[in-house]
Amino acid sequence: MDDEALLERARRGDRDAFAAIVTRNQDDLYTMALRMLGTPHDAADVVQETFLRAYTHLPELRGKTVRAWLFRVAVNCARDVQRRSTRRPTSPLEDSAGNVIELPDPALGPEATALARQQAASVRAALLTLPVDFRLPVVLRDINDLSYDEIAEALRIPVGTVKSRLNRARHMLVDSLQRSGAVSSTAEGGA
Amino acid sequence: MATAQHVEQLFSAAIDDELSPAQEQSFHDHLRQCSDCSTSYDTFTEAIGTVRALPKAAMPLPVHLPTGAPTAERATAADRLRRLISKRLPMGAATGVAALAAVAIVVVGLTRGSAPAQETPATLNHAGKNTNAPAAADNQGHQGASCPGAATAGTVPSFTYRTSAADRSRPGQQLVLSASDATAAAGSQVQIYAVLTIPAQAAGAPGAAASAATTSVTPCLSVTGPSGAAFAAPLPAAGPAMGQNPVSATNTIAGDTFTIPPGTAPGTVIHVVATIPANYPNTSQAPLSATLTITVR
Repeated sequence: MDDEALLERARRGDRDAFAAIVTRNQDDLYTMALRMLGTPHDAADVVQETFLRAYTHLPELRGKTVRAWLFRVAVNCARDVQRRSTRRPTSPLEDSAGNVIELPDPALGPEATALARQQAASVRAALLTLPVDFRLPVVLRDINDLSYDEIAEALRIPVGTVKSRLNRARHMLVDSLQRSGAVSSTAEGGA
Repeated sequence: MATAQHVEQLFSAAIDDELSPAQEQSFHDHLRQCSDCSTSYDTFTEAIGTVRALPKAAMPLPVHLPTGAPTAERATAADRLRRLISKRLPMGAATGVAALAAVAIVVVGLTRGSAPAQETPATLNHAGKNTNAPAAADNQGHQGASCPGAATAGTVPSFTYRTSAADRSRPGQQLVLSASDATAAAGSQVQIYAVLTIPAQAAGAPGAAASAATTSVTPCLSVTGPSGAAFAAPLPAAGPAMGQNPVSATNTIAGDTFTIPPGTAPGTVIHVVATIPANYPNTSQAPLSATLTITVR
């Protein structure tokens, strides 16, 4: 059953249907919030607040895709959290309960694992250096795999603006990753 | 013939396969003839690839939802709950609405790692040690009261297994969650103590004793475990239910117990979550939660 069918059931008062929507989308929203804010505590707060708002504003969902609407609510929540939070970032490897959330690939050796971790940390740090208006399109497109239309709906901006911000943000990100050494300045194997 | 600068502006669209056929032809023609652009595009794709390779993170905490129906079509239950809150917790209108919105607990499935496991609420029995105060009339017909609920100071159990949480938007406030033990046998009882302490001047609750240094509030509590065990109790259809309602406002301590269902497999991890919703007791305050894990031995 897709999200829209679950939504119809939820509108009729079916709590289990809404719970299924939560289960299906919570990790995607958490990932978005984590990459945008950088702190697991804040990201979990965003997800909690997103579903609370969605639960109490279900009638406003008519005619919209559940996924894009949830991201839109989550983006607004994340902006709110970012404005009011002055927490120092915690370890990106631990969630609020102290659990490891990004396990190394067991197929990699210790050295490769360390390098992969270092590169992932550089990428996360580079993302956080982008201005929010440019960070969000990258997170939604390259991490959450939203379409341009979905990003436009989530951010309430025209698709053309999505494209231009995404283009500029990606170039800023490439520059940042090159400066940090996470990617090579002159890629190997050029034409 | 495309210029190098023009081609660079197409990198983003190219990596998303958003170029028109004509643009794509021109783009690749240029890359074949221009090693600088080709190298730049390789670097670009490598960098964006590292972003796309970041792992997806798992929501670490269960999501809590209000007890009311998820639509306005069932406003009767919401109205009943609103009346319950307005009688039991003398709060301002905004705070009341916020508390209503997050008043109780439904814990939905929590997936983690490569083997997702559905989790459902376990029974949380709020037969705390000091529940000698008479239940309010509102509580009749229900199995508990609303949360968060006001609580006066009482004896604090000396549990060493504990955690706490605070937030910048809640100056001076601290949410403490503790349990009698980090492990428990199937069929045994686990005692939970949870309280949010609020500086009296910030409590915002009419009637709060001016001389008290802090006000104590009992948070919403939930317990979850894998559905494969005896935790798979069905969710209630609507309204307050066991496991959703903490201590009544007249209780003097946030002492609660729950029973590990007999037959629960050793190694089963049970999450105990204490939550204070956003905007409680004052507006512009972030939600606060604390989690303890208890392992079945």
